[in-house]
Amino acid sequence: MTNFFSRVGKQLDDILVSGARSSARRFGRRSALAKLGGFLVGGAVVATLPFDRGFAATGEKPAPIDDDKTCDYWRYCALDGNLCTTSGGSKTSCPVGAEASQVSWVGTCHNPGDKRDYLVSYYDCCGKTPYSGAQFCLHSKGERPGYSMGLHNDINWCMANANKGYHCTVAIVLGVAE
Amino acid sequence: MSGKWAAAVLSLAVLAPCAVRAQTPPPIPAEEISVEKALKPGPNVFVTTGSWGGAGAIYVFSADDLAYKGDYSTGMQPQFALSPGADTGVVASAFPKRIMYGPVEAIIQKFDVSTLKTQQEATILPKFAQVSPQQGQIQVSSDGSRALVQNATPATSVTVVDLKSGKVTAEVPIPGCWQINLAPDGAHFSSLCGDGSILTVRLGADGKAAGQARSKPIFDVEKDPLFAQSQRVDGDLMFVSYGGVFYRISDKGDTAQLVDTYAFAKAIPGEWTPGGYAIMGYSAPYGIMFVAMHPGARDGGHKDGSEEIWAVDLAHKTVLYRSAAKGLTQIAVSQGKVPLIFGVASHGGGLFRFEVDPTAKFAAKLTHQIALRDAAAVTVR
Repeated sequence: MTNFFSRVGKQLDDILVSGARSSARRFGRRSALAKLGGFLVGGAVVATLPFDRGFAATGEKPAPIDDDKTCDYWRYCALDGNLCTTSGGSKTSCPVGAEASQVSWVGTCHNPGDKRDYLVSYYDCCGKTPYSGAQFCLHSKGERPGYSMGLHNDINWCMANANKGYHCTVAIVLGVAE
Repeated sequence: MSGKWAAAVLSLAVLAPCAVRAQTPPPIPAEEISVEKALKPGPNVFVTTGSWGGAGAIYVFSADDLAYKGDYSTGMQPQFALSPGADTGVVASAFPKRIMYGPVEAIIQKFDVSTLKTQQEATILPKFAQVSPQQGQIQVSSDGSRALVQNATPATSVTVVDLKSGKVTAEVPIPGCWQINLAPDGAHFSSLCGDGSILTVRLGADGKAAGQARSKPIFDVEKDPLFAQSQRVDGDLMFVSYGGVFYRISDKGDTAQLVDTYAFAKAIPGEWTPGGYAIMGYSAPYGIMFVAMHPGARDGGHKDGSEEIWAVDLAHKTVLYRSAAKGLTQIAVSQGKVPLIFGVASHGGGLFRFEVDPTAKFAAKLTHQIALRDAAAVTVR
């Protein structure tokens, strides 16, 4: 985390100067909670819990380098949401009929393939119902509360769109993090 | 067969059908549908459940045994506040016109806890921040006259609502700052800011901003950021950092002041650290702060569920007891003679009840648990 914020700030400044991904400076988003709707499972005392998406998302399997449909894919190090790769889109494209969020948040993720750190911008895709079969992931490397909004992943990043319904999230490389 | 036995058998054969008929209960009379008029009596615990694709809810459970009592329906991503007497709930949430698309109407609903009926609705700004349910997104003054709600576009601001008239009195910009920590009298609030400072905003009687002041940097956002949740301790605000340091802040004056810090996890092996969303609960009668903790601190692990709940004596700066408590991401503590800790496991979906023994260093013992998918926040008095 040494100089993480200064690195992020410099990277974003460079991006703004170059005109690329200008919305990345406004970053941010939602939590691990309840994206697919809430309901009571039962009133009875149970010995075990019915499922554990969050913990499954932070599992201990070795991170695959290439499988962008799994939570351990390197770009997803600060992603909290449904993978668009499992919702009809790709890691850089929203599914058909959805619209890309106008603002996004960022993370700095290490690519084991080339051993570089990359600045990754996470955009939500908006305006459509979440797909119940989508892979949900929760990673929060470098994540901060809303006072560092550009690093915050607990909020709906469709907030600046006319259509604010959350659908899924893509992870777009902005450049090498120096 | 003797004559006596023959008579007995004959009697049974004749009388048995009559006996069966005599034991058959009368038919169930015709019934009429009814509606329960009020929640079952007893203390309650409230669980907020959010949704990104439909209605949310405030679930009400018995604080004695987690028996389900009922719920109050909300829009998306409800943010809940409970009156000091636990008899009135105030909740802000979003109601998109076409659910997943179209304009958003954000409203505050005020409801009676005993009947779960709406007492009041007030329309607030549609820029209401749609975040997972958590403390500090809505705050209500202790007299119930004023509510403050967090906005994000992502530029941050606070909507001030007069709950008597149901009107928005102001939108107060708090650029770079987040979460509402309202003074009990509702006259000012403080928010954590991205440069490590704290912004304090004073509100006039008319509900508009009457002045604001930003403190010097108090915490290091890069090296040891603060969780946004706070607890009131003898009038001060208490925060905790990712690394397990308490920050006690006085917000009584115009500018917030750091009173004290205490690195309560530092001396304990295992790289223990707080984790979750609302991870502190304070027992005011005993001066004990309970904190959800897990070992193996790592970057990105600040939302991991708990392995233990620590009871920390704030006056003597001592960790008194470490109780097993797996998977909790938010906790709340009751204020009775026997403190109760309620926790939700938002990553797994559960609600848990612990009893605390003040005579045994505030050890917490799990008494009840239920599965509860998408339980997000928990509130108790």
